[in-house]
Amino acid sequence: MPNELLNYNLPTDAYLNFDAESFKSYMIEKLSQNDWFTDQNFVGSNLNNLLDIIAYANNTLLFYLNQTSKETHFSEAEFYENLNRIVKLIGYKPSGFVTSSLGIQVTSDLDRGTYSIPRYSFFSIDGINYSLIKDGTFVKKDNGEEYLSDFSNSYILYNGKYENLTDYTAIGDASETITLSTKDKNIDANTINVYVKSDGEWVEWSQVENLYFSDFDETNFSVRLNESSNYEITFGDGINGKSLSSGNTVSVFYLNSQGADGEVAQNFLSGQMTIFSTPKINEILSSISDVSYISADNLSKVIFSNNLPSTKVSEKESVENIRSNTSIFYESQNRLISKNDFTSFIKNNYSGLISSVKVINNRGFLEKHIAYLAKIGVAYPFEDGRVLTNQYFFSTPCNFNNVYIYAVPRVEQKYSTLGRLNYINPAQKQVIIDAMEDKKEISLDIIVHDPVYMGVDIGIEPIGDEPIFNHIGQSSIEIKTNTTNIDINSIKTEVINIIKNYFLPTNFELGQIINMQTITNEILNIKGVASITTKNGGRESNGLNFYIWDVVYDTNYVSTSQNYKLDDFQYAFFYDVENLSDKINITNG
Amino acid sequence: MAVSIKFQQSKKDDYRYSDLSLDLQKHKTPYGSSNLTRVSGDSDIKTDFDEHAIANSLRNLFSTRPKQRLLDPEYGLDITQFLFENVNEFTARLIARKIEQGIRKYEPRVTINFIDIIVEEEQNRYNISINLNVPSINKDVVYQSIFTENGFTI
Repeated sequence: MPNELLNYNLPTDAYLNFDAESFKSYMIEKLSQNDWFTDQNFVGSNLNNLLDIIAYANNTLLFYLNQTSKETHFSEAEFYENLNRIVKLIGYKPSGFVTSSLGIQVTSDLDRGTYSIPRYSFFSIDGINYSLIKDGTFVKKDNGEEYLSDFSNSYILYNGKYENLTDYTAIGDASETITLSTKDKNIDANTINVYVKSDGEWVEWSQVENLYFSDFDETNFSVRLNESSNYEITFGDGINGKSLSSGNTVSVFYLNSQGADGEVAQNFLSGQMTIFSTPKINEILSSISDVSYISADNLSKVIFSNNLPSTKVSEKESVENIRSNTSIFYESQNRLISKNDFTSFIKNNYSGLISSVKVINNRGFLEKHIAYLAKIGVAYPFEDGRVLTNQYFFSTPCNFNNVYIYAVPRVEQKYSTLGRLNYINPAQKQVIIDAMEDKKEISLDIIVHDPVYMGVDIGIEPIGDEPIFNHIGQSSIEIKTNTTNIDINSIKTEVINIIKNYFLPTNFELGQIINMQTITNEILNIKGVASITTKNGGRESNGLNFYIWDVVYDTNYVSTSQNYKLDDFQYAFFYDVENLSDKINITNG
Repeated sequence: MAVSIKFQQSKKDDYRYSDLSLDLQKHKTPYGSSNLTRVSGDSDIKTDFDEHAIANSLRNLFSTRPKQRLLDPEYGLDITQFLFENVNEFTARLIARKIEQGIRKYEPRVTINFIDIIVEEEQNRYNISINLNVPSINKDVVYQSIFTENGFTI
């Protein structure tokens, strides 16, 4: 291919440099090099009009050419459909919608015995449904009322109600695929169950991340959110995973979530759980299980409650998230070894459950968290409630190989002055740990740990005093304006929004720096604000001053006007944010 | 396959201005047996010369409203706004002023001798006659047309 378009004295890729204006100028220049036409130079002429159209069409076509070529590149694709296809080449599975989940506390006055609640049983309260996604089994040790701690710590309810895709009759091809449409539905991939009927018997097949790790006879399937945002349920090819046989009947059950409308507050659960019963599921359950399920009458004696709100829903992965997560996925090679591997795994798969995550090893745990507990006066740090709980449930006697994952759940408490209860419950932690089991280094033990919550409030200690709890709520911010012609209330609203937004769970991370400069600058940038002072009684200090303290142990009070770095196990929230307005006074300058 | 179109020297002295004719008619190649290398004689698109080329420009000017032109949104002359005014001499003067401004701005090849507008009140229309001089070819030309609710074209 020649390097130059000889007739035009241009390199072959010159078309890339033309926009409509320059292309039109170039055409006029070329036409002017001979004498035949003259009117290209006059804006009203037919020729000039025609050049306009050609130049514009060229520019439009170039735009689409550029767009199309960009969309074939991983680093530049902007359309979900295209990036989804590109990352499929390296086996990346973009995450889809994640429904909200609810930790439960369960009591019962049933007689002593073992009981199983069938999968998909659900609550329907005020039109909002919460379902079990697997059979729930509990042991009632004694007669009389009893708190079912093992059951409470092992099961979670998920928002939505189970539905059944029309049965599919298999062709028998290798890697046969069924498409589960998400049109007008919110389906969480983790709630999809597949049953296959062969020779008159139903068998439950297992969802795996990747069929490449399956043996030829393993009844596995994988789920991938495709470029059209529908789920592709793919079966094996007889080499990696068992393939479907011709004539097999495939029945797919999935939880249809109610999206954000299904998020609920604490103490939502009441009344009786309903057994999910359809001819299809009854036929399947009687075929795959010999369990004698609990009767509806006995189920009415199992009382469910929830002392925390549900987690927030999480929408499907965005294009930018896919781009950043794919490289991490590729780097980790589907294994969990480094800090980044664990962090990205949780962010990718549990964004609906967890808003912030930090990963540290045992050394970090001892040097930071345990040392911190010792510093604040906890006599036996390993016997501290939150530490002991997690050690008890998840650790072996040997600690050196522990990986500690600090996680803040995506739940919001109604009032910021309540004792912080928003810890991930053991059942939710177990779900995360189970998902990591096949990917983590074999010798690692994973502990999903609870953070230490730090309260933040406007505060400055009186002269001569050390910061203590009694000072909380005594200080205020005094803001002076630089003009009298300004709406004080709107300034106050803006100040409140700045502080609230800074500490919003969606904006805040474990171990974050509380950046006083940023907050101060944002307030000073409000139109009309001249100065900020923090005041407590007779004491005034220029600028913004915060109290930061450990609300879990009511200690470690710090008064600061400088940036404050939290440790990786610490997470801050603004204390008593509901009454922040009373602590902000604005006077016209 | 690249298509190369080369024009032979034409008899430039025979005309001053040349423009495409958008009638898209075949045109016997002027000025000798073949002005175009790709055809042997008589089948290129028709070309308009001199006053006809200028007429093309004026026609385009009158038929284009501002913002219609892709790469030159200011180009155009909107006299249809006067269709909603009373048909009288006062409006006729405004129309003449508008036409004069448009021609001065967008057609530098001509000078305006005069614009004559006859108000035909009963027919709700204007009979517009534009008398121009083209100095470069030393020729006076007159374009005449009727301005009605269908617009104005020459």
